[in-house]
Amino acid sequence: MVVPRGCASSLQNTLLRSESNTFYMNENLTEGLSAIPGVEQVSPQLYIGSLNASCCTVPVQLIGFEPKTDFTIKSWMTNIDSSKLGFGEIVAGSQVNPAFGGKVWFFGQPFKVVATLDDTGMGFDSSVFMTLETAQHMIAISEQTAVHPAGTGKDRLSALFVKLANDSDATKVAKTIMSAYPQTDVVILKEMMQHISTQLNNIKGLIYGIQGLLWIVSVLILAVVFTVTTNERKREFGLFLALGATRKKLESLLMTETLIISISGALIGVIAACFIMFEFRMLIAISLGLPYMQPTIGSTIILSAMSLLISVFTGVIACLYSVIHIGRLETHIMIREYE
Amino acid sequence: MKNKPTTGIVAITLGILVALTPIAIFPVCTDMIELMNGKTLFMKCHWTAMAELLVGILIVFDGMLIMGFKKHETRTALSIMLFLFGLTALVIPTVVIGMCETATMACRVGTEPALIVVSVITMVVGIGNTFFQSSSIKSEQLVKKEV
Repeated sequence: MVVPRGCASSLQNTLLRSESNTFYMNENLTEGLSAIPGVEQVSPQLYIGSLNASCCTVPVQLIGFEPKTDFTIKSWMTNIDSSKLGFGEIVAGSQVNPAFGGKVWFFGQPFKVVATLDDTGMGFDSSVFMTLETAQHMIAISEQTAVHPAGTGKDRLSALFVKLANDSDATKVAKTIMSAYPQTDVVILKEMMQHISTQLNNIKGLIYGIQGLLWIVSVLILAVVFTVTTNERKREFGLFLALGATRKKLESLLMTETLIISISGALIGVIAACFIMFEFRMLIAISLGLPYMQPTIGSTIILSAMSLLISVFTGVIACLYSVIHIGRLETHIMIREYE
Repeated sequence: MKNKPTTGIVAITLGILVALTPIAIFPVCTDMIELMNGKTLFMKCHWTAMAELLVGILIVFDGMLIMGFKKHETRTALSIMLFLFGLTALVIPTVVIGMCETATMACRVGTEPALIVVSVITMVVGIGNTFFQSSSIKSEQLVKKEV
């Protein structure tokens, strides 16, 4: 992705974090870039950030693309033919609410929403897509009508998306572009994704570490709790044995009690966690500052089932010492313990 | 009567949370709507915060009454009230007044989910204590019969 010098982070924030940005190139480099060896296709895009008013509006990123040369947007607009998007028509992100009649107003002009995207967890959720022609027309009209115009001049472009030939090296081509056009920055998609992946792996490592520590602590605490309660009930267990209950029966009684407590506790925990995670999904997404998708129902069920199993397993492990300990004590000692 | 102070303290805590969540813990949006004539108006979420403050105070009083009264019948009625206050705290931000339209605004990101969680817990505590008190009434009646 070729952007004006100093705008690389703006583009990344626009694509990943729903940040609204406006930046323009001083000249059209489409033809120049197409001539560079290894470049297969070049497609221009225009980024305009809408106003961030004091109330009830959020900044929306307006993205203009060229349907004839586009190879990025059409690849994930599977149910819509992006090349047939007409003048004045837009495709809205999932967080953009069209007004009555399916229209959205930008810079004093109405735009017809022809389709709405599903959640992507990325900046596209608060973006609006239109053809380059529509976007450039909007800039021109906004100069005359809007209180805060979207910019000045004709045929403005923000970024050029470069598709490389299969055998070409992205880093080499990027260097060639930057030496030929020093007024530009080049963002390599692969590097950008690797950076996100590294960040996510670091977070995952930290979470797994905390989980492991919490698990060990919970096993120890539960083991202590079970030991204390079993010791307090020694007399009761001794009487059971005196009345004819086998040690196996006693062990299964303790184990059943543990299972009932573990399953009920795990169920309450899983339901509470799902409820809080679902309710605070937007806060989590904003706090992470990374592309975030709410887990699907299927994955939530799998996670819940796994958590349930681990919790029950934890309870059983914690109870094992008490079960073995009570199984080894003599009946008369158990009954006379507190005499 | 074992749960008398516990339920009361829990209810008072939940009431404080309901009252303070939209004001201090997860504050609602503070910006104002500016009209064409220059006048400014509060957003919807501001009025939700005011209503929740009132409901929160009522829950605190309900908790204090649960702590103060000894009769199981009275505590059952107060627990039903607690459930209804929880329900009120739930429907104010979701149905009755609501929050701002945009999903990324402060009131939608923090206040609304926090209020939903706290009000659902209030409802669960209310309904749980209602059943507990009812079972206590039944066991009391059985003891009286046996005597």
